[in-house]
Amino acid sequence: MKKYNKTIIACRSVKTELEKVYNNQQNIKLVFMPQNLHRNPEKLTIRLQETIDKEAELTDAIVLGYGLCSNGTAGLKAPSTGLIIPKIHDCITLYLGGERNYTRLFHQYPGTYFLTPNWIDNKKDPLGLVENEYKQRVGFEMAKEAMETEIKNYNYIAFINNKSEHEDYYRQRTQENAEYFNKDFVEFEGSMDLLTKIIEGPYDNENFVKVNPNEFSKQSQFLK
Amino acid sequence: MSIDLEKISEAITKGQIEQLQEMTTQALDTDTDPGVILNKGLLPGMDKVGQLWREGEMFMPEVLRSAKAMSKAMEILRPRLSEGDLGSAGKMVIGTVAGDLHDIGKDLAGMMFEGAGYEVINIGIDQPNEAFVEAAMKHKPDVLGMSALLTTTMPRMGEVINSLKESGVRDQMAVIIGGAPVTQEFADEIGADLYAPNAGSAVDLTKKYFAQQ
Repeated sequence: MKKYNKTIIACRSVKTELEKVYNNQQNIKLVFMPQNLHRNPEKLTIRLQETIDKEAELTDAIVLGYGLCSNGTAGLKAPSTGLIIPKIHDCITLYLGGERNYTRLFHQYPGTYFLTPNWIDNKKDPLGLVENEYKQRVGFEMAKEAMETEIKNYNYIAFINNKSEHEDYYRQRTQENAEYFNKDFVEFEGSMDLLTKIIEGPYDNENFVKVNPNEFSKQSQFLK
Repeated sequence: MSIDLEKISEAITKGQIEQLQEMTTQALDTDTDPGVILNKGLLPGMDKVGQLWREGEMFMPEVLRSAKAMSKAMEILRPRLSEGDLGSAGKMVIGTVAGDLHDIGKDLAGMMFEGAGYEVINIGIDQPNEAFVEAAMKHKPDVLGMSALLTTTMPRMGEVINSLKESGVRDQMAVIIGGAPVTQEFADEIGADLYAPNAGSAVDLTKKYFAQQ
């Protein structure tokens, strides 16, 4: 018998939400990885592989709290436990409860920049990026211009409401972003469905990629 | 005094807009061939930008500043390049696939191809599969470029290639694809001729491809 029935290796960007559905179950271990690894997908793969190999010795099953994330989860070698990965593009689908809801909104609100409390707290909203990341590198004017270019084809900036604390603050910050960059503000109700499934299962084929022991995860497994 | 082409590349990676404009003008004044300035100075610079972006060393505003520098240098270079060069390399149709609104990389690639002497027909973002096929049939390009930034829209590229086949025009052009989630493996799978990991390398890869044909 190994120490845990299941280990969830997840991105810090879903920490608050995952912990909410986790309920301190003793037989399940949660491991969180730094949030910005997707910016360097090759590094994400390496770091994830190290963590997977280490955790595999202590657990019967490994589930990732990631999507394909810029191909960061493609090319992972499953340990003897096998490997289960949500069949999604990125974490936005996690906040929205699954592919079906994401696809619906994707068509209903084309060109949406999604924000969650976590992304706002980490200053990864457009205004936060300009103020805290871009400005220091290229000065304010170019920083602002860059962000405007980056999101020029977007129509909406959306707040995904997962009923967290300080909901009003996050809504207001999203509105501020929308106003500043001249986009429409829109609010979507989040859903814990997929996050709950990551912890509880069932790991159905519609929502999850399953990698057999010693085989590699492939991008094609994520594509519809 | 001749201009150090490596300095031009460096000015691109560092996003030094004014310096780059000065150097480009100076290079032309000292009779450096405009094609050489482009191919040995500007394009390698943008290629480097693409690499640094992938490695996480450069951030988006820096990439865009470099792109702006490139575009400003091209304004100076274009009139000189087009003396017989524009359209001389061939024709290209380029666009972003349906459902996808991202065009930074696609527009950069278009600019590079234009610089390299292609007549570029940029059909824009969120283009349905039929729009690619129609443009391909109408313009009869040598190169068809497709871009996608999302794994959710990436499969449209394969669909376009299938439609091109059905319309009987697939073999008349080289298909090149790119965009953050795109890989060589995916390009092989859908039957694209070329995969470019970044806009800066796209032209070079295309040239090599045609040289081998």
